[in-house]
Amino acid sequence: MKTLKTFFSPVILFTFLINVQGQEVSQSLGGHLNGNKFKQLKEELPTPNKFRTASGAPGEDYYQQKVDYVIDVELDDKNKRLYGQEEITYTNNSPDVLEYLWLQLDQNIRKKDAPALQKNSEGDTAHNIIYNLIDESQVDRFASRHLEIPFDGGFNIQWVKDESNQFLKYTINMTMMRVDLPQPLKSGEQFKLSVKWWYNINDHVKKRARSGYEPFPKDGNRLYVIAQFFPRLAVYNDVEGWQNHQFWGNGEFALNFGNYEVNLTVPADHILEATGILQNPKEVLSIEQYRRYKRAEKSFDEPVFIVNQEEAEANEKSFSEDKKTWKFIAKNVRDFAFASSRKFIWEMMAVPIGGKNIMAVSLYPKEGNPLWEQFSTRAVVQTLKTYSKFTFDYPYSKAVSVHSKNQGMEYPMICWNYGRPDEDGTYSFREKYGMISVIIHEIGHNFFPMIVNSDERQWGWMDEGLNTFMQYLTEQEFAKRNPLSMDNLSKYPSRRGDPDRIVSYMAGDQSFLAPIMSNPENIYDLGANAYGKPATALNILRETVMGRELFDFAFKTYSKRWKFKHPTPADFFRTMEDASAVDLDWFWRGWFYTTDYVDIGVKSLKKLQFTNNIPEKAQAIIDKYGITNEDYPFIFLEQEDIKTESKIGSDNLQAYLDKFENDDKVQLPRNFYEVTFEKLGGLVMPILVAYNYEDGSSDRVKYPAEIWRKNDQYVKKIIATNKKIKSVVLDPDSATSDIDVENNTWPKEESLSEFDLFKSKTNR
Amino acid sequence: MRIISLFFLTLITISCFALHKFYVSTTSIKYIPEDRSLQITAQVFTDDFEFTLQKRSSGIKLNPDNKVELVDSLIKKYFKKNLVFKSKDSILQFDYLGKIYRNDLLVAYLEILLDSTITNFDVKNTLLFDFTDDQKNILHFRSRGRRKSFLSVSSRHTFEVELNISD
Repeated sequence: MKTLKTFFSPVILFTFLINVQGQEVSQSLGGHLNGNKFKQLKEELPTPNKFRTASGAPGEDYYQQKVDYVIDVELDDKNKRLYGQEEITYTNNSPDVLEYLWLQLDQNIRKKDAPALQKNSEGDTAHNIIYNLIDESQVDRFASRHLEIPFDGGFNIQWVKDESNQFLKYTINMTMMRVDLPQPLKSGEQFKLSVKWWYNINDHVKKRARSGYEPFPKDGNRLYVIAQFFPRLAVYNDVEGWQNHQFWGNGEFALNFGNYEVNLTVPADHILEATGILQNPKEVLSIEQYRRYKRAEKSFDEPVFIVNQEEAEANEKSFSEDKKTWKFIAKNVRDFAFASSRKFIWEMMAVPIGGKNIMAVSLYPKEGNPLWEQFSTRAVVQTLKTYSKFTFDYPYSKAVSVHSKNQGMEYPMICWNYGRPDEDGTYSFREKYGMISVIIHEIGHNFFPMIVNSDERQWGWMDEGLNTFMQYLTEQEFAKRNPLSMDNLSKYPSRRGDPDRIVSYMAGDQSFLAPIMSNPENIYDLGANAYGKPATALNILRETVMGRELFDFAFKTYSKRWKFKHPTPADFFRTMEDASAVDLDWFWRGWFYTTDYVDIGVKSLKKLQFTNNIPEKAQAIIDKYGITNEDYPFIFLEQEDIKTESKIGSDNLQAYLDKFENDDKVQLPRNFYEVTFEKLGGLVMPILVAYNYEDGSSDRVKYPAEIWRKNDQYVKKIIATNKKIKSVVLDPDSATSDIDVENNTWPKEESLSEFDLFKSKTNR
Repeated sequence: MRIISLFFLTLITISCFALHKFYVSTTSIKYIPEDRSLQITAQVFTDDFEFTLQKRSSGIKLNPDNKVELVDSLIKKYFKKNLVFKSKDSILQFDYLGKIYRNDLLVAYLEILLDSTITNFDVKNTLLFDFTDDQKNILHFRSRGRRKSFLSVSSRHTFEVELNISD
C-alpha cells in the first residue's frame, strides 16, 4: 500500500487554495517589538553569574551568611510578657565588607504607632464591613476597632553590646534595626553581639497575629504560640544586598541558616514544644512522662501519649508558681519558635524516613478534640512521607503540629494549626478537612521555605505556591491511605490544586488581579494569587504540559539543588527547564508574569470534499499564473455540508488513484474534516481534544502549546478519518483551567446546565 | 428594635497570612434570552452561613436532614436581604428554587423572570458581610456567550449590569 505521505505530495501544491478560502482579513500591523507569547524570558530574568548559573543551580561563588544564636527567654505568664537575651555570632561569608548589620524586629508591627497599622486606605481592600450595631458581636468588633486603647506591643530593646561588653550604636527604623560595627567586617570574619529585650505578648485571636496567646477564660489559662520573639539577623545576599523591605504584615520572612541553642524558662507546670532537640528531658519531664517519651521513639503504628487528656485537664488547674527551663539545640535552621501551656495534650510516634526515625508530634488542648486525636499526627506522618518522596528525605528529627485557634503558621519543625470543634464536640465538614489540610500545609512548609529557603518577603508564591502544590499531592495520598476517614468521598476535597478550582479567580474582575510575580503586599487576594494559582500552574505543568516523569525529576532537582540555600524565582524557572529539556518560558511568562487566563474554544468543524469545482479565489490564482490542468492536475477541496455522504468528486484525483495497482492501491480516508480552534484567552495552553465518532469510538489528541506560536487567535487541523465525527470536545477532563467551557464543544451542546438540572429535579 | 446605624469602616489587621480560612462566595448569574430569565447560582461556605443564620434562629443547623422548611425560609429571607436585584428602582423578586449541600458549600438556586422592558439591572451582593470583615463575594455574569465579573466588598457591593454586555 502506498503511504499517505507519498500520495499527498502532488496535492500539497494546491493546498494553498484551501488557505485562500479560509483566510481572514487582519488589520495591517505597523513595526513592533517582539510580542510573541513564546519569546524567551531574557529580559525578565537576571543575567546568570557566578553566584547563580544559567542552569538554575548555585554558581561557584554562591555564598550565604551564617548566623548562630544562643538565646535565654523567660515567659511571664501572669503579666503576659516575654523577656529575652541573646548572643549572636554573625559569619560574613560574602565577598563584601560590611559596615553595619540589619536586624529584624518583627514584633514592632504591633507598636502603637506602627505605620503598618495605617497601611490600608478606606475602601481599597476587602477588609470593610457594614457594622450593624444591633448585633452584639458586631458591637464588639466596632468597639475593638475604634474604642479600645491600642495594644502596647513591639520590642523594647534594652541594650546591644559587643563581645567585650561595649554598647553598640543602633538605629531602629520601623521593623528593622541597624547596628553599626566598630570595625568593618571583612569577608570570612565573624562578629559577636548581644541584645537584651522584652515585649508585651499579644492576644493573637483578637487581632489575628502569627504569634501570641489565646486566652481560655473558663479555666484561666493561656495557650502561647511564640514566634518572631527575638531580634533576628536580616538576610544579606547577592540579589538584594541587605533585605530592606520592611515587615508590613503580608510579606513574610527572609532568614539565615544557623545553629540555635535556646533555653526557655516557663511556669513549671507548662508543657512545651519547640524547634530543635530537647536537651534535658529528664529535668523537665516526670519519670512517667520520660518513659512514655522514650517509648514513643519506638512506636511506628500509633502515637504514644506523653500527656493524655485526663492529665492535661488536671494540669490546667494547677497554676504552679515555680519555673522550669527547657533547653533546645537546633542545627541548621532558619528560625526558632515554641508553644507553651498547661493545657496541652501531647502525643508522638516515629516515622521511618531515609534510614532515620522522625518523630511526628501533636500538641493540643482538649478543646481540639475529638478532631485532633483522630487526625493531627496522621496528617503529620503523611506529609513527611509524601514530601520526602517528591523532594528529599526530611532532614530534621521531628515535626510538631500545635493546635492554636484560627492559626495556620509555620516554623522549623513546629507549626500552629486551626481546627476547633464546636463546644458540643461536633464539627463541620469544612472544619475537619480544613484542619487536615492546614496541618499538611504547615508541616509541609518545613520543606518550602524552611529548608528550600526562598525569600518570602519578596516572593510569597515561592514557598506558598510550591507548598500548596505539594499539599495537594499529599492530600490526595492521605485520602488513599485513610479511606475510612474520607466520608465516602471519591477523592480528597482539596480546596486548591485542581485546575477548575482556580477558574473563578482567574475569570474575575481584572482590576483585582495581579501577576503571581508581585510582592505579597500588593495583591488583593493573596490566597488565590500566591497559593492557589501557582499550585494549579504546577499541577497543570505536571499533568498536561510536561508529564509526571519529566516534571517530578525537575522538581526534585530544584529541591535538592536549593536545599539549605536561598533560591530566587529565576533559579526555579531555569532548573525546571534545565532538568527536563522542556522550554517553559511561554508558561512562566503567561502564568507567572501576566493575569491572562485560559479560554480556548472549538470555533467550527467543517467537512471537506474533493471536487472538480474550482473555487473563485483559486480560479483567480490559476488565471494569474496561467497554470493549466495539463501542467498540473488540479485537485480541490471544498466545504460540504457536515452530513453529506463522502465521495471522491475530483476526476483528477480519481485518475491519480486509479494508477496504483494491487498492493500499491491507495486507501483514501473517507472523511476529511477541518476543525478550527479559537483562543479567546491570553494564556497559551496545549489543546486537549476528544474526537467522538458516530460509531461510539473516540480519539484523544493533544496538540502541543507551540501550535499557537505563529497565530495566537486561531489554529486549524485537518482530521482524515474513515469514521464520521459526531462531536468534538475540548479539554474533556477539565485539565486546563479553561474559564469558559460553553465554547468547548461542537456541536454547541444543548446539554442541561447545573441550574437546569436542579430546576428540572424540583419540578418547577 | 430598629437598626441604629450603619458604619462603613476599614478593619486594619495583620490578617492575611500563612494559611487560615478564607471567606469568599461565588454567585453566577446567567441571562437566558429565550425565557427572559436570570438563572442565579450562589455558593457560600456552609459553616459560615450556618453561624450567620444562628443569629436569626438560635441553634439552627444546616444539614440535609434538618428542618428543611425552616431552613429554606431562613435562607430565602437572608438572600432577599443580601442578594438584591433592582431595575428602575423596583426590586426584581426572585423565585427561590432550593439549595443543595456540596462538600463544604451550600449552593442556592434562584430565578428571576424579567419583563420585556428591562435592559439592565443593579445587583447588590452583601452575602456574609455580617459574618466577617474579610468576606469577599465574586460575581460572574454571563449573557449570550459574553461574560463580566465583579468583586463585591462592602465599600463597593452594588453593580450595574447590562443584559446585553457591550465591550
